Amino acid sequence: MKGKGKAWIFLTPMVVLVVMFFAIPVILTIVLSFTNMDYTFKWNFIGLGNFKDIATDFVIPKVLLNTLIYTFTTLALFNVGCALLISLLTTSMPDRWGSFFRTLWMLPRLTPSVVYGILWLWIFDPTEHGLVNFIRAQMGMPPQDWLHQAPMVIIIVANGFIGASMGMLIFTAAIKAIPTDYYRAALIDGASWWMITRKITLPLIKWQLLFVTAYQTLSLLTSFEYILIITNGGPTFRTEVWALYTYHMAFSNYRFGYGAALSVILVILGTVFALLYLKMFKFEDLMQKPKVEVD
Amino acid sequence: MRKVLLAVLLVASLLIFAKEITITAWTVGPDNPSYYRFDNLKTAAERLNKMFEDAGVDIRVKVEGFFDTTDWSEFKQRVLFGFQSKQKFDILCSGHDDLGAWAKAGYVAQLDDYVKKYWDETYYDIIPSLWESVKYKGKIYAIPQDTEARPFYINKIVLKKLGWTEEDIEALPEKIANGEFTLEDFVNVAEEAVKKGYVQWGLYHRPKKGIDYFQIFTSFGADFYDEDNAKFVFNKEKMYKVYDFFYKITNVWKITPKSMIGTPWGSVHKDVTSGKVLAWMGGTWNWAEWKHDYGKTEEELEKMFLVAPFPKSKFGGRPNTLSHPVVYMIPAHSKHKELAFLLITLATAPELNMRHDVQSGHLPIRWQETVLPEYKKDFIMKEGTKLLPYSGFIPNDANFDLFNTIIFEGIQWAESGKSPDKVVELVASRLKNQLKDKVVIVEK
Repeated sequence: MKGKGKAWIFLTPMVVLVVMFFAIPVILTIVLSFTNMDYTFKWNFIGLGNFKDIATDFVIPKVLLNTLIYTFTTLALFNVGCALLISLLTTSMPDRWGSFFRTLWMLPRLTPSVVYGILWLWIFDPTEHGLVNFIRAQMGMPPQDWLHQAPMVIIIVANGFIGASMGMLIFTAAIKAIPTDYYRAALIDGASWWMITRKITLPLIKWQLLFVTAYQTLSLLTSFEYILIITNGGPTFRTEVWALYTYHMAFSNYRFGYGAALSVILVILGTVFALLYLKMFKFEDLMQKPKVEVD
Repeated sequence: MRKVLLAVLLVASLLIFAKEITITAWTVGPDNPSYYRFDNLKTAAERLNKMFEDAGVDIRVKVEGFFDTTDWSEFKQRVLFGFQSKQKFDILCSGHDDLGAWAKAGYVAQLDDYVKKYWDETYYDIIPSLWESVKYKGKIYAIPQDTEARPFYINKIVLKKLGWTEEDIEALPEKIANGEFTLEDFVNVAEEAVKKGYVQWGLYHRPKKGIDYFQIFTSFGADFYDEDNAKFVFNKEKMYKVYDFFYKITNVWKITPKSMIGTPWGSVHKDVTSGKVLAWMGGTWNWAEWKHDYGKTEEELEKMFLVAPFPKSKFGGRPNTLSHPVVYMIPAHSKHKELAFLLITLATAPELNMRHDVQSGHLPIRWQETVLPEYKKDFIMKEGTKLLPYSGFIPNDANFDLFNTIIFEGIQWAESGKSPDKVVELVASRLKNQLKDKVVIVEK
């Protein structure tokens, strides 16, 4: 059998899987977005009707703004920012202590998501039955309604504690893979920790920074499970993000067509951000061919 | 000896050769004490099997399935996808308001002929008004499983602290029922109780989306459904008064916490049963929950609460309560409709239904239940039944849930501080955007 035939034999199982579980659902979602499918599951085509409805839905600007605040604040403060900081600090200390702190940060990710969400609800329960308000009550202070006063902050922190661990692992691995010669040379030249970080570490983990930023942006754009459990988008749409609004429309109100149209827009939004990152991080440069050809 | 052997052989052969039919029932609480919604079907199967055995019929019925205690919306999602993927289930237990959508989509079977068949044995005895709750376009699609009232629970201990006499307290339900004591009167009492520090809060309502809020609409005379044209109605002028009430309870009178919507159920019930709240817009089933899940005794509860209809506003409307009968339905795709209906009929026996009512704090669906001794000695059942003349149902319309969602968004806006006139405009606009010609917006 010739080369191309063999290649197809090896590729076919994966191609079938990709078509079945990626291509077909995407095509179905796009087709669905042109229907007004509801709980009857009928494919009634209405052209651009759902997109017109989205354009006149006055909740949409609020949802879009929430999505941007939630995604980029979580990303900057936790999924990339905090992850990078923990990696830099824990790789600068003795390995035993570094591993200890990294394990601590891994704990939220090891907790089942529903349990984790309910724990946050319990912590910030607005009555004296919640953890924080119980402690306040012991000190003679009145209960505070944190979930109403600062719901966005709470969901960002709740998501961030989980999201930071993934970046932390990737950055730590990348930092540890940098040859120690660079650091020794810099130290001999009298470079400070900050100088070493800025001039050696960060440039050498740029690829990982691009990956974590792009991956976590897409992940945050589509994730909503903790928001669903902790605030369910409330109070009054203050934490309703695009993915959650899509879920509410499709699975609470059973407007599957409308939900699909919202999903299509979310995919476009995700693609735009991914392309922007490629541009920002100079992806072409990162993908330069190796100078030494290996046969 | 030979005869005994013969009998044993006969029974054994029946057991060996009897055809077993499995009936799958999907039932829901979501309150824990309502488990007889499932268990009564199992008891019905035992009774039916006994009849089959006695009659020498080689069929045995087995009931499988589940009793869901998670959440209405999760249960309904599961059912909807169960219909679509034609999962095997033969009996379905849900709220009556679901049958509008499910009957329209052809998911549930029409039951008029079955009801006629067993009318003289069982169904003649169902309290007539309940039949309205199980009809869609004039046809029966479900059998009532229970009903309920949503009493306005007022803490008597707090009223006493405010100086009310026993006579005043005893007369209050009657005064509310005949409209002498209005919602605005209640607000005055609640403000006083909060100011004097006898309670933390004057009024608690449910912390999630639900139908309870529609009682307040009725109190203000805000009709929300046009039966003749099967369309929702949003009367801006009337709904302004409703949203103004929600705005004021949290922002002006401060008798309800701003965090009411979103507070976990458990914390709400703990506050109500520990006397931190003057009044609770609840349901008869809460009585059972408070006993089973919150450690309260019958005596403690009777000492603490009086039960009344929800008061009318001085701006119009009427005192009221709302029933939400839970019903049994049969999926259209079930292969055992006849048998499933027979089980439902047997599970509707007065004594079986009564044990569900007693256990879960629900109300009878049959007249025969009201003469049973358990009924006569159960406080909440007796008091709850007194509220039924003030009761109404929500419409069996396919789009009710979406309408309810948008109305609820308005309540959230109002309670969080958005001005009522702005809320009315937002809700009207959203209703038009989402429900289009299925809603009529009345400007004045």
